[in-house]
Order: sequence, then C-alpha cells, then structure tokens
Amino acid sequence: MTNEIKTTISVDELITGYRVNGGFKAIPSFPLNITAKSSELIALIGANGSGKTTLLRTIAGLHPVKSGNINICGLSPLKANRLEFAKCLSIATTELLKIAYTSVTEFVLLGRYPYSNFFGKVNAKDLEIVNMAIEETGISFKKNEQMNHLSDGERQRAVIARTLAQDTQVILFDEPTAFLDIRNKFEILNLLKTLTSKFGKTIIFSTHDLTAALHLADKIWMITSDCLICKIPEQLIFDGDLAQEFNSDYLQIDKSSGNFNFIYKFYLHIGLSGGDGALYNMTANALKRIGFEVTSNKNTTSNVIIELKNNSYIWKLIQENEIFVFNYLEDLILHLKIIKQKT
Amino acid sequence: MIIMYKNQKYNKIILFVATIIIVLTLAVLDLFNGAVKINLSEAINLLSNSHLENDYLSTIFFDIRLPRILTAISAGLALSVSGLLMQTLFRNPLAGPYVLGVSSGAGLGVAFTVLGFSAFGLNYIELMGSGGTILAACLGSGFFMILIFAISLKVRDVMTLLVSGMLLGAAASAVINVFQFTSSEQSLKLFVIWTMGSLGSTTWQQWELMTIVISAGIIISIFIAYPLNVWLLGDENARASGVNIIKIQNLLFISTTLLAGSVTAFCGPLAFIGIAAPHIARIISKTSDHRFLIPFSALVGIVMLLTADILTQLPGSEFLLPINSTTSLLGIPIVLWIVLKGKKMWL
Repeated sequence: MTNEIKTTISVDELITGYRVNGGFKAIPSFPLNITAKSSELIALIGANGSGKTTLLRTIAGLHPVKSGNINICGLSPLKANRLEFAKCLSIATTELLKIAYTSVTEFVLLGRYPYSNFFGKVNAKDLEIVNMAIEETGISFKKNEQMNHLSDGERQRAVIARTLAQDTQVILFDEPTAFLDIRNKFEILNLLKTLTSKFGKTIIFSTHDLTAALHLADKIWMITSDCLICKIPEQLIFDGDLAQEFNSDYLQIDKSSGNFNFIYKFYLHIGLSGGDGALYNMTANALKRIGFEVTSNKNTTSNVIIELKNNSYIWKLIQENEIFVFNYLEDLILHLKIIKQKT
Repeated sequence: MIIMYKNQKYNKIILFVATIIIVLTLAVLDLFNGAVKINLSEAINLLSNSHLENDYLSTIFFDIRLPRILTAISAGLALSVSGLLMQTLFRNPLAGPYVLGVSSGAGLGVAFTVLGFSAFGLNYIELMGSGGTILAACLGSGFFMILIFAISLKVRDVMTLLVSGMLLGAAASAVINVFQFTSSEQSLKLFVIWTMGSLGSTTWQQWELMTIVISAGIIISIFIAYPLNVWLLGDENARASGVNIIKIQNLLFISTTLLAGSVTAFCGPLAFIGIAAPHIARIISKTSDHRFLIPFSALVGIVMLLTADILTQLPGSEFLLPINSTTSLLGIPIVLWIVLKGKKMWL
C-alpha cells in the first residue's frame, strides 16, 4: 500500500515511571531514545518488571511522562486531542476483554469510535472497514458469534480486528500471545507481520516468547538493566546481546544458530551407537535429560547400542559384563534412572 | 454483512414493539385492578365524560389509579436505567441503586429534611414541599454515589463492593434512627410510611415534578450511551479510543443521582428493580449496546414494576401488600441466579 518508509514514532530522552512512597521511580531506569518506521513489526522484550507495559502505555498516552518527548506521526500523546490521537495510534491492553452479549461485529465496530458522531451511527464506510478488518484477521466465520463464546485465539483475532478498524498508522499490543498455544502464537504473529507489510503499519508488541519474536519480528526492542537495545533479531543474536541478557546456569543461547540450549548437569558417562539419525538423537536427548554425558566411542563402562531386530528397534545396555535388552526407549531410561539413583 | 446487520436491527425493533404492547396491557390491567371494581363500560364513560366532580369512581380513576400507574411507569424506567448505568460504571453485574446503598443515601437525605426539621421545631411540609424532598433525596443519593465510587477505586472485587454498599446502607439506617429518636410523632409517622415504599401516595403535581427530573436523567444517559459501549472495554482501551472518561463518568454520576434520587424521594426505596431489569434486558436482547439497552431496560423495568403493583392487590384478596415485598419477590430470584452463575456472568 505504502512504498515510502517514514518515521512514525520517535522518542527523545523519555523518562517515565511511578511515584513510590513520595519519591519517583523511573521505569526503565534510563532515558529512552528510540524510533520506529512504517512497515515495521517490532517485538518488545525484557524480563518481568523491566518496563515493557509502562513503555507501551506511555507511548499510547495512557501514562504520564516525567520528562522527554514522544512524537507519534506528528502528535504528542499527552498534548494532542484524544480523538485526533486515536486516529493515529491504537492499543490493545491486557485489561480483560471480558465482554458478553456483544457479537464480534459489534465489538469490531467499536473501533470506529473516533470517526463516528456522538450517537455512533454506522455508515457505509464504517461497515466497509469493519468488514475488511474481520476478513483480514480471519475471523469472518465467527462474526456473528458472541465474544464470550470465542476461544482465546479467536478472541485475540477479534481484538486485532478492532484495532485495525480504528484505522491507525501505529498499533500497540501488550502481550498478544500470552495464554495462546504454540500454533495460535505463530498464527497471530504472522497475522501482525502481514498487516505491517500489507498496510505499511508500525506494530509494536510486547512478548515473553523469544523464539517467536526472533523468527518473525523485523526489529527487537530489548529492555536490559541499563539500556534499550534496538536491533534486527540476527544482529542481536550475533552481537551476543541476547546471550548476555538471558544466559544462565540452565540456558545458553547459541550465537551461531540462535538456538536456545538447555544446560544439563552430567554425573555419569555413557556410550551410544547404532540407530538412524533421528532415533540416535532422541535417545541421546533422553540420556542427557536424566544426567548422562553421551559419547559415541565405546570406551566407557556402560554402553547403549541401538539395533534393528525383526523390523523394530531394540536398545541393548551393556554394563560391565551384564547385557540388558529393552524394547522401548522409556524402559531403558527408567532402568538407567534407577541405576543412577543407586550410585 | 450489511444485510445481517439490518436483520439484527429488525429483530430488536420487533422486541421493542412487543415489550411496549406488554407495558400497555399491564397498565390497563393495573388500571382495572383494585378493591373497587370498575368495569369496561364505566371506564369508557369516565374517559369520554372527562372529569365528573363528586363522582367517587372518577376520583378513584383519575386521582388514585392513574397517578399510581404513571408513577410506576416513571419509577420503573428510572430505576432500571440507573441500575444499568451503575453496572457499567462498576463493571459489576450486581450493582444497582438499592444494593449499593444509593437509595439509602436518598433516604438519608429525605430523613434529614423530614425528621431533621421537626427536631428543630419546624414544619417540613410547609417549608420545603415536593421540590425540597427531591432536592434532598438527590443530594443524599449523589453523596452516597460518590462514596461508593471512591470505595470501588480501592476494591476491585465484585463481592467486596457489595458488602461495602450494604455497610453504607446500614450506616444510613443508623443515622436515620438517631433522627427518628429526636423527631416529633407526626413527622415520624410520615417518614415510616415513606420507608415502606409506595407508588400510590404520589399526587399529580409530585408525579410531574418527578417525571421532569427523571427526563433530565434519561436525556443525559442517552447522550453517553455510545461512549459507554466503548467504556465496557475497560478504562485504558476506552481512553485510547478517544473517550473522555472523566466527562462520561461525571455525566453518569449526575444521571444516576437524578434517577435514583427522584424515585426514592416519592416512592421510598424500591428494592431490586434496578439490578434485575437490566439483566433481563441483556438476556432477552443478547446485546450490551447501551443505545438499545437504555430504552429496553427502561421498558423491562416498567413491566416489572407494573407487575409488582398488580401483585400488591391480588385479585379476590382484600389485603394490600407493600410494593417493596412484591418487587423483592420478583427481583431476588434473578439476583440469586446471577450470584450462582458467578464468574461466568460478564457484563
């Protein structure tokens, strides 16, 4: 729709936060300088309490600013006329959208509030935009359903449709994928991505789902303890910013692949051989999970050999001079767990 | 989609018209219901000859029953709309002028004038009249509305708010008791009759005054109907949609106060119509659109209050039940049902 890339959000030296016991606590604790452009899907990440929601609410003009400037498509969130501002920025907060006795269509129509007269008379243009929003978000098969009869994923789609009906350049979502299963998570984020590229919108969403954010967002805004890092996902991984923020004794982020690796504590060594690639890997994973360091040579005191026998796989455990045979991986793991507890 | 949207519109119009027919039927039934039987030919005679002086049937018809029915209509309308507005304000399906103590506040206002004046040896009726009663009741209900709203900002829990409302009601009763203790016998009697609640003690002049105040409340509520729909999405989502929450809230306060206060001033505290009517309206119409719900709840409230009024004079019985008993008997099962449905009950 729009080929021209323009700056839609610019934040200068912004300090925001809360009054605590008469004093002021800045959240995040440093001034923010950040910009966003059209056609950008931005994931806002950071630990709990790092100020993701506060930042979104401040950009939306729902939270007071201590100092600094915010400019959204030429308007200041706190100074602009609320109705005019509602035409350039919409937000879906986590305030429980527990609405009953309202159909999806009626709900999406509420997004037209800034454009309608005081009694909310629906005109042809409103219906056209609402219809488009419902189609784009893939909820048209439920458009006459009551909101409280929808699943979490469907309700989230209706929420997105409402912000879309508000017809704004910038859309903010606070945790749109919380409570969703993994399939819905990716579908919702893909939908947001489509909206940014198709309509040139700037969409910012906060999330705790790093994997999805790294795979789908155009940019990541990461709030750390001392600064806000704004990079494309790959750069963020390559520069080690993610590793620095999230690595711990149990989790390591691989700089070359961007994968998340769990760190297991190993107590014993075990040799593993045989089987095809997938079965070998899954057996190795299962052994790691219960605390065995897996090696492919047979020099260790215990060895597992995967063999094909009568068209099905068996697991042979050779330990000192004893040989145990298992028909299922689960039985092998159970056996080894008991051995491990004895030693 | 446009066709679908229109279809829903037609369904709502049909629903609306059907309810108006029920209201008219009940009003006519109520007109003929009473200790003195008036048959159809007598009624037609009365209506065609307009006012006949010294005719006792005419007095019963025009000065007792007609004002009573019109009062029931005005009061049912006002109570249900004030209940609806309070349920939206508090996001609480169990909110209503009676349970949250707003009616008690109005009662306190009335007690303050009726009993308080006599405590100082002044005659309230001569001094204040109907206008004074309405003013006192509205001030009282407005004050209690602000109190319960302040509490609601601290407690978000549905049930805690209700307990707070009951405490406010109890506090109002306690203060009223103190007034009663110090007041004259004559004004005490006047006040005790008032607390029982009644539709039948309103004069034409009082009804006119009450209806003017109620109309003002209703007009305000119609002005805020559309923003209230957006407000149901929550404070923040509404603000981000461009709704001026403070303005809407203030108008809602004024409207609720006028509606609950004026009814309570002349009919006493009428229980449970305010909670139950908006719920029945929502369940039947399956919408939370205030532009439809305000007039429709009003109609349902009228139906409820007219039914309650007919039940006070059970046909064939000589006893006249207090109106508060019949509204409670009609309303409590619905409230109980909401409580039992618990968290599944959303606004």
